[in-house]
Amino acid sequence: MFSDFIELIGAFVLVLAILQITSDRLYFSIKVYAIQSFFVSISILSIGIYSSSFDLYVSSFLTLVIKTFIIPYALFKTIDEMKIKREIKAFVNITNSLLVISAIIIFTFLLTRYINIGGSVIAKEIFPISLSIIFIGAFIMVSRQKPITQLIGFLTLENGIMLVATSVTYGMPLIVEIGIFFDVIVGATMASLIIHHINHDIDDMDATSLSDFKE
Amino acid sequence: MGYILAIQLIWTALVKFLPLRVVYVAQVFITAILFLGSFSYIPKVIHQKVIFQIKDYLFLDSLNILILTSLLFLVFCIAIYSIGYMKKEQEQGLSEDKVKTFYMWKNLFVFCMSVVLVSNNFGIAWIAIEGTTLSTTFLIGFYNTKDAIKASWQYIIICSFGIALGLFGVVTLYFATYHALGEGMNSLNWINIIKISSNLDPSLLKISFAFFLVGFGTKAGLAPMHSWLPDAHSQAPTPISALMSGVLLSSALYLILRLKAIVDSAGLVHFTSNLLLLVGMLSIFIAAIAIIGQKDYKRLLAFSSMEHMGLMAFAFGVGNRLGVFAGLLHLINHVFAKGLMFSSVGSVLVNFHTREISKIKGLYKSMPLTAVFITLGVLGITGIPPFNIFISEFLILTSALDAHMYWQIVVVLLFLVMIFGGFIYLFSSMLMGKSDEVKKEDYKMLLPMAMLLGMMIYLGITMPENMKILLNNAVDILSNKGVL
Repeated sequence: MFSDFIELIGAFVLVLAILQITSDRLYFSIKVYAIQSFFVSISILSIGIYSSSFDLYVSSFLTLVIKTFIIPYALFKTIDEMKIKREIKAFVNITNSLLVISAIIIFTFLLTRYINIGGSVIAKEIFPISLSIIFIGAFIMVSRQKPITQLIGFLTLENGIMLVATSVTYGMPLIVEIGIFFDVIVGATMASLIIHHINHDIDDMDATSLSDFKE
Repeated sequence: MGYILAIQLIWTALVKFLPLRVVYVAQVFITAILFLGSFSYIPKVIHQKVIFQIKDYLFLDSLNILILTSLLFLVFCIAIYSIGYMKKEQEQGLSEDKVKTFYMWKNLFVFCMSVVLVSNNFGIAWIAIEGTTLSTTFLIGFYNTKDAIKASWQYIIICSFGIALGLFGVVTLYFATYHALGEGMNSLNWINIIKISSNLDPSLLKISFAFFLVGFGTKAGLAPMHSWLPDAHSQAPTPISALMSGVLLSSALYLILRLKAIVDSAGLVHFTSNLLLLVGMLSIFIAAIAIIGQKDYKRLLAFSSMEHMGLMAFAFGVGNRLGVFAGLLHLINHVFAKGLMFSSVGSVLVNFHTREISKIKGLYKSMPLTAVFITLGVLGITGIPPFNIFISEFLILTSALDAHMYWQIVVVLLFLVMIFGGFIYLFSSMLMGKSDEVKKEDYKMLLPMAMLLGMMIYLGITMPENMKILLNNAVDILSNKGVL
């Protein structure tokens, strides 16, 4: 029963990752990311209640504060200041992206069928689900042109890892998790600072001009 | 070794509040103390095999003491070099505050690398390696030019992405070990895992290793995920390029090796070795292609780092005793050789302000001493005796011969010859020719080059007894014989 509940939450997170792909507006993308993080924090909280572990309460609380509020707020602020245009430029259009994504999801479920995981596992299906989220995040990073959407792709990927780290085992050691949070928040801040620079100093900067570099 | 880390952290925090003159001098003394401190651990490590500190979160064994000591030696050389380099930059109008910022980030970067090396725990090592990404991002964008900002964006996104995949590898590893070792930090401690490694679930270890290789391989500059490397190395201030190339890449590879030891003793030697062989040869191939037609000399050196990381991966992929020995030796040799190369071309860069090979001519006329160092460095890094790189490359190929990998040897040799040709052709066009300008050479920049060159020749001719013992012990550690 409990594992079904965790898997349901995991499925929500996956659906939100798919929704992220279909979004063509930045505001919407950031909102989707915030809701996704909210679901991740619920998943962590419920495992925390189930196993009554204090570490998971802390990490659920940190997820809620940092990823549902602070990072989206910072991103909203960045795009307001930058006056970045609303639409998201993509190398691969939405229909094709969805096809790629469905292939990714089928592939990850097939792949993990061959792994027989020994021992007690809280929710087995979380493993392929979060692997899909990781690959979807990676796909967003490579298929979108704007730096800020690449950042959102990275954050989605990170959510997938957070989900698997807490739902398959009873969470990583607390010190490690706090370190991960710290790195993510500093990384996101630095990335938005660079986006600020990019917008300030380089007029029409997107990922296509990144390939100016020649070998 | 706790105090080595503590000194670095305190010094990082202090840098911003001291006058620049003091920072310049103090940096040299502090790095000298750090180097000597790490050097003084060597007899102890040989005696006790492994030293733990702060419960068992930090440890020193024959493998990481070697890398740590050569890291701190390079840091010491670079500390002297930076004085000359930054003074030249100040003449060009770089503000004092910027220089202090440079020192702050640089020290934080070195601190993170040291934590990666001495940490016994994969979780902490992951955090520290992400710390190296964050602390170098602003250093790559240091000059605030369009290219520099682009390179730093590329760097933070590609490396964070790679490191996130590495985190997935760590999670999978934890998943494999926490049944046996229980929840908590214990289950990520390397020493604990290696003891029970033969009982772990092989399929999970396979996934973990694959993600480790791609994830930390990104930081190590290995083939499929190397694209941040040339831009980052060419845009960063030269002292940072030297540190990144010399030790950042190696410390990422070091983590892969630690995991390889675990996965190997679970009976997956073929899997890990073949992956490393493939990745290594691909890296050498891409580097060889890129070096031949290179126009920018710092990018040229960046690709050369990629080539050497590929060679190391190849050596560890060959995997017999000699191969692992040669790989580790190459890792250490590369630190000195790349340090020399970057510091010597860095002097050219601060004097001529161009990274284009075709715009620089007649270095023997304009900067004769630096030109000598460049020549010797080029000969050294392409593997000519009597320099140290020759010994380790020779041993790598011999070990592959022992393992009957004939076509692999031919292919690797072919690429090495291509790289040799490219290096000689491109650098001779910079060194020879006429030049009217005569630049003043700063002894503060020449001294570290001489020290690094001395190390290269010394290790090329002989090998200290202690180093031999440490290397042999390290090979034992990596093949899971006699860890404690």
